[in-house]
Amino acid sequence: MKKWLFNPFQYIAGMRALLIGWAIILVTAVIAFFSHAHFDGAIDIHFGASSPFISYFLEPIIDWACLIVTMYMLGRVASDSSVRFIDIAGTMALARWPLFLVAFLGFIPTPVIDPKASLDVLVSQALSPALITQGLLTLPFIVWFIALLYNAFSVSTNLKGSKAVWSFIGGLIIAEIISKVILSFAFKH
Amino acid sequence: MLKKLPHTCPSCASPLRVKSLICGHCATEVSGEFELPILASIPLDDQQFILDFVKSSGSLKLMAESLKLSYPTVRNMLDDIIKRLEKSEKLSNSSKK
Repeated sequence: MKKWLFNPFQYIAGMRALLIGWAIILVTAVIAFFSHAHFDGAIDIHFGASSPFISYFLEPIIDWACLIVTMYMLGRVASDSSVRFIDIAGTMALARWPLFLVAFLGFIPTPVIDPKASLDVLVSQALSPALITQGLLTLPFIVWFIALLYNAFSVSTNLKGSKAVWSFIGGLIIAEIISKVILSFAFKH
Repeated sequence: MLKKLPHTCPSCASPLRVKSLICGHCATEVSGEFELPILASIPLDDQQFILDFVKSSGSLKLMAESLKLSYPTVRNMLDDIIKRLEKSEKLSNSSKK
C-alpha cells in the first residue's frame, strides 16, 4: 500500500503511466476550472482568481513539460544507466495525481483578498480561519506530490542517495523558474 | 534449509576458493584449488534474476511482465547486478595478483 502511494513507478512507468497521467491532468484541469485552483509553477498552487478554461489546462501542461525536460537532461548527465524520455514523461505525469485532490480544496470558501485594501484589512483577510485551513490542508498534498516526483526521478534514472537528492533539488528549482517565466509570458498574471 | 554458499573469507574478506568437490552418487572426492565462478559470488536473488533474464531471451520487457514490475525498475535491477558483478570481478582479479 505504502509503495503504491509513494512509489507506484515500481509497477507502472512508460506509456501506461503517461496515458494515466494525461487523464489525471485533464480531469484535474476541469475540477480546477470550477474550484479556481491554479498550478502556476512547477510546484506552485494558488486558489482564487477566475480565468478562461484554457489557462487551467495549459498551466499543468507547461509545469509538466518544464519538469520532464529538466529532469531528463539532469538524469542523462548524472546517471550511468540509460534514461528513457518516455519513463520520465510517464512517471512525472502520474506523479501529479495528488494535485487532483488538491484541486478540490479550492471549493473551500475563502475571503477574496483585495490588493488595494489597507494593511489591516489585508492582514485580517490573510489570517482568516478558512484561508489558514486551506493552506494547512494543501501542505501534506504538496509534500506527497514532491515525494512522488522524487521517486519518479529516482526510478526513471536509477539514481540513489545524495546524487539523486541534489540532482532532483536542482532540477526542481530550474523547472520552477522556467515554468514561472513561461507562464508569466503566456498569461501575463 | 537452503545453505548459502560463502564466497568471501570471514576473517580477511578475500574471495574464497574451492578446495574439494565430492560426487553426490559415489562419494568420490576431488581435491585441489579451484576458483569460484564470478556468478557464484553474487546473491542468490541476483543469480535467479540472471537465469530468468537468459530464459526470457534477454528481454527486459518480458521480464517486467513476468515480475509484474515496470520496465525501468527491472532495468535498474539489471544495472545494479552488473555493478555488483564488476565489483566481484575486480575483487577476484586483485586477489589473483
